[in-house]
Amino acid sequence: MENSMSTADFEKALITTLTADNFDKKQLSVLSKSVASLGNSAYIIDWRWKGRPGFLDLIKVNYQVPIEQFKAEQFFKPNAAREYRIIIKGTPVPRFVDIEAIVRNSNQEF
Amino acid sequence: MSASYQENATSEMNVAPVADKGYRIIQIHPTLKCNLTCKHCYSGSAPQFKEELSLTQLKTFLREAWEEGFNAIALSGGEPFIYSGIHELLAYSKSIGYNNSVTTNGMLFKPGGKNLDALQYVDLLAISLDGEPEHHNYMRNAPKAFERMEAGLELVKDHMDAYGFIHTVTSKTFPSLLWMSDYAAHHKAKLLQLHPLESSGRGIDMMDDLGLSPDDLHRVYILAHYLKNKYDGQILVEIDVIHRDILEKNPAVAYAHTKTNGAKITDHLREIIVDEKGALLPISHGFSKFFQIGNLNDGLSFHAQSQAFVTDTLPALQQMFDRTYNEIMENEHLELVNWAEIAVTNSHFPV
Repeated sequence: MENSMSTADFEKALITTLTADNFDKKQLSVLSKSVASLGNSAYIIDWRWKGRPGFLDLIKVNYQVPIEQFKAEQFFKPNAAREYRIIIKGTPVPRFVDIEAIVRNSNQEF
Repeated sequence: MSASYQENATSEMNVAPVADKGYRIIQIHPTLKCNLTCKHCYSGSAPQFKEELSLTQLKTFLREAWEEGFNAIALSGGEPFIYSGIHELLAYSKSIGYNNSVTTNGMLFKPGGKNLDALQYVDLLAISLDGEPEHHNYMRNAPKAFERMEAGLELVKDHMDAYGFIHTVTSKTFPSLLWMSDYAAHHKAKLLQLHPLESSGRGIDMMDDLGLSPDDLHRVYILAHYLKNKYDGQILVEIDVIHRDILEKNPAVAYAHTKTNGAKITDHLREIIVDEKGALLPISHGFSKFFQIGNLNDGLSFHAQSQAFVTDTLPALQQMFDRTYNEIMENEHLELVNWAEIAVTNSHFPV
């Protein structure tokens, strides 16, 4: 994964984001649903994002796996300034899955 | 006392048809006596309790239960290493062939002591860890609880490899899960089991301050899955809640809408409880006596008690499991579920 954070930085960001005041139930719910949807034999091996944690104005979840296994979900209105995405990538049987948040703003895409 | 690693009836690891052959577990609470009075203890264990189960009766029961298909015991309490018959019970259980696990506060091991010697009969030792030292001591109501647990841990490490930690997750401790997983990895633990605080025993009084909100539970769930993968192959990270999506696809996890066949109780239940009074109960401590399987003090064989249970009580129990499952499925706001906790509550209101 390009431009990966160190594990320590990632974990700090993970906690910061999960505990942020603006990280509301709806976001948490969908993330948990994503985790659950990976199934019993599937699991996340990496999950990180670029950009500043705590400013998740939008999360878009794309499952890069067959649609019959995982439905895509989209929620929250796009923010004109920033867009954060978490992408779940997997093989048809997604034993190994990456989730990556991508930050995009009006001027550039990371 | 906290939940045992094999008590995780609600864990997603447990997604398997009941008929599958795996561990059939007897969770035993031989006494409620404990050297601590933890703020969150679901069984309300404390030093003032003196009573304990008869070792002779337990040994007879274990012999008979083996014949019925049970093959694992999980000792909890109270503090199991306070139980006067712990050494002999574990040795006897192991001689029959049971897999032995014990949940302990880890404070009662001394160099050369009998408790340490008993570890030769233990397949997995789960030590309660309530968070970073200050919070651990606060929850344990003992200023040196962490220090003494850690001293015990060092002794345990010299005697066995299969040990781990069990943590009762609260609203105050989930940000410390990364610390706890680091701690577990540092000590080469094999298990980190996360059990959300339950509204049971003294835990009832702690729910307002320390109970997990639905949001908190989502946070814990996400963190747990991160840790599960971070430590894959090194530490088994388990969380004792299940996502409704998984439960919806696997109702048998909650014993719901699943027809089981067979004459033995183990054809129908994965886990039973022996509580501190000798009552034999389905799946979880605190279950209503309405669904009682029997009692060690009844003077009847376990075979006779379990046969009567399968014939007379099981249909009502299955109805209650169906009702519990339906309630969960009908409540879409209930996304992360400790279905066993709900079943325990519902067991006290049988239709």
